[in-house]
Amino acid sequence: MLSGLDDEGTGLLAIENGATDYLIKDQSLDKILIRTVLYALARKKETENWWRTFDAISDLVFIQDKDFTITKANKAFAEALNSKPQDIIGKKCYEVLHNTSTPWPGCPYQKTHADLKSHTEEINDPLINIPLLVTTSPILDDNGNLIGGVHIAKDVTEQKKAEKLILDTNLQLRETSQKLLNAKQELEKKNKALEKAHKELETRVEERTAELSKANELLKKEIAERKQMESYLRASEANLRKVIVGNPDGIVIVDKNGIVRFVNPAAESLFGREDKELLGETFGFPMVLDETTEVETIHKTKGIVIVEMRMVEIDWEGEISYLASLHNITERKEAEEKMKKAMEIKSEFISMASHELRTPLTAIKEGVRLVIQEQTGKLNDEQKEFLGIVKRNVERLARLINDILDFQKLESGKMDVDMQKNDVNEIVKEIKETMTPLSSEKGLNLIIELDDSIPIIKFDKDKITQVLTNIVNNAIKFTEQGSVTISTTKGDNDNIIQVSVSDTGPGIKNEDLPKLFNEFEQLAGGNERKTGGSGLGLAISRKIIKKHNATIWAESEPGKGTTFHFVLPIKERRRKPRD
Amino acid sequence: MSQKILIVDDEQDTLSVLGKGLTAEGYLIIKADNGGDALVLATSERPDLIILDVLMPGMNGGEVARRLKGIPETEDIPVIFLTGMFPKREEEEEEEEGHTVAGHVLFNRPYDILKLVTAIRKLLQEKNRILLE
Repeated sequence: MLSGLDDEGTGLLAIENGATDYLIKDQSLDKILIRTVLYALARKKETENWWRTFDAISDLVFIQDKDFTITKANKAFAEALNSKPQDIIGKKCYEVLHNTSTPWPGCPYQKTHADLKSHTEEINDPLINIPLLVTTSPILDDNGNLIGGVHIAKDVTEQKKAEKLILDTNLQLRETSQKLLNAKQELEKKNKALEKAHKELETRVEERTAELSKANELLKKEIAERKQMESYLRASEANLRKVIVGNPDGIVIVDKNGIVRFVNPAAESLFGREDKELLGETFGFPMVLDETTEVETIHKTKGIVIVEMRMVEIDWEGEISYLASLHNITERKEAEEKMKKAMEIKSEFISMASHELRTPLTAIKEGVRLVIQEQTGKLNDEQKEFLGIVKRNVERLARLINDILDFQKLESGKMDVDMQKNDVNEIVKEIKETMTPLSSEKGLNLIIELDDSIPIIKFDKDKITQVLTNIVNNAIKFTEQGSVTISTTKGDNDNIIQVSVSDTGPGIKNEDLPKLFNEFEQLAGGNERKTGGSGLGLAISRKIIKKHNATIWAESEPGKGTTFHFVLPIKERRRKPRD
Repeated sequence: MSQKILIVDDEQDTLSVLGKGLTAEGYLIIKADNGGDALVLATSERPDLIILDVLMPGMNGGEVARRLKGIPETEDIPVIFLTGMFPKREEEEEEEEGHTVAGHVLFNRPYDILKLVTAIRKLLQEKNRILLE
């Protein structure tokens, strides 16, 4: 600009308004003109360069003024709209971009317009149809007032794609992550469940182990107990064995088939054979249980052996078997035989001896009788006295001899009774006659009380006389004063006759009554009493009475007296085979 | 003077027979048939010799002899025991004075009267000798 105004202000204004230079006319013009032309050229080049740069930008750029009018647009922007920059410049941006007559609501330039700051928005413009990232930046003057804005739209398709990819990937990732998380959670759940199951298992295992432990302990205890029992049993068995082996009696165990399974040493010596010889052999003896039997067997060297055998059933090694205990009684049997023989010899001897004794006794008795009866001449009193003594003692001797014979008969079991019809009362009367001298000597009364209604019965006259004599004799012997009474009556029942002899002697104590009829029993025995008898009288009497199938007994009241009773049956009962 | 002999036996017949036998030998005889009476008679009659039956009811001969020893009047009287219990052994010869057991003279039954009288004489001679010393 050429001007005559030499005013800086005007010059600035001119430059500001696009003048390249402000030249004042009177200055050295050619130089200033050259300078100015240079300046003008330089400025034009600068401006050209700047607009080239502007169009080189690939982003869509336009500049708009504060009224939204597009003042400049770059090539990219125009191309994007399929137009030329000239067509765009001068239009409102919202017209061009959005085809609206008012600013678009999401427009960032509005915001920039408002707050004078840069704003960025993502815009998907249908006209342009590319995802754009729009940044509007304010152009401010020196005072900070908005004079326009730069609108830069970046094609963010690729970014978007990338973004999408990232998003997708992110999503996928997230999904995967979530899946992983889920899976992890599932796994954790499963883990927890597993743990729980594991814990449960552990607990159960513990419990089981405790149970098993207890059971084991119990088992151990049981085993220990059983072992102890076994040892007791073994000890018992050992003891039992000792007993069996050491037993002096033979012990043989036989199985149910009668085969010998065990023999103890005593059994071996019983048979004279070793156990190995006997094992497996048939027992051979009758097997009677729980009874004692006598069997004969043959000893290997000693001949016949007699054995007392007893068999019981036992459990031997789990089977029913039989245990026989064998007691050697050979010696005993032999001894019994010997004794029997000895008894026989003794019996014979006694019989013979007593008979032998009777012979001289008879001579004495008869001799004395002849002299006493004065058949050899008259006797003086003294002679009579001493002969009386002799006679009495001969009779005593005779009685003793009879007692001895009777005793022998008692022992041997032989006693014959001659049962004939007899009168009991007659016997009593005879005895009274015989015994009166004896009783008078002692100052005793001998009384008889007879029942005349008693029948004639069968009995052995001599033997019953012997019994009665014995009883009466005793009565007189043991009574110091008073009387001896013989009585006969019919018994309590119709079939018996009862004979009683009572005395007024000292009586017999209750506890002594049962002993009366025992052999050799003499009351108040020992050195004190010499009763002049053999002590057999009552025993023999009892035997005689028994042979008559009758009974004899005694009653007594100490201090008052004693009564002996015996009964005889009226009707003979059939003889029992045993006494 | 006749020598007095006390015979003690519960059997009357024995007393009669022995008494008669000894009387025939010139002895004066007193009899007792139990131990109690024997002691009484021995004390009162002071016999020169006593013949005692061993086996008697009540007090037996041994007991009587013991008691006699305890009475001053009778302690020196010699005693002969009669017994039926002494078994005769074949090897043993019958001594003239009978058996002597623990210082006592014992005669078995049946006794031989001659031997008995011999024993009595011997004992009486002994007694007299002691008295004279």
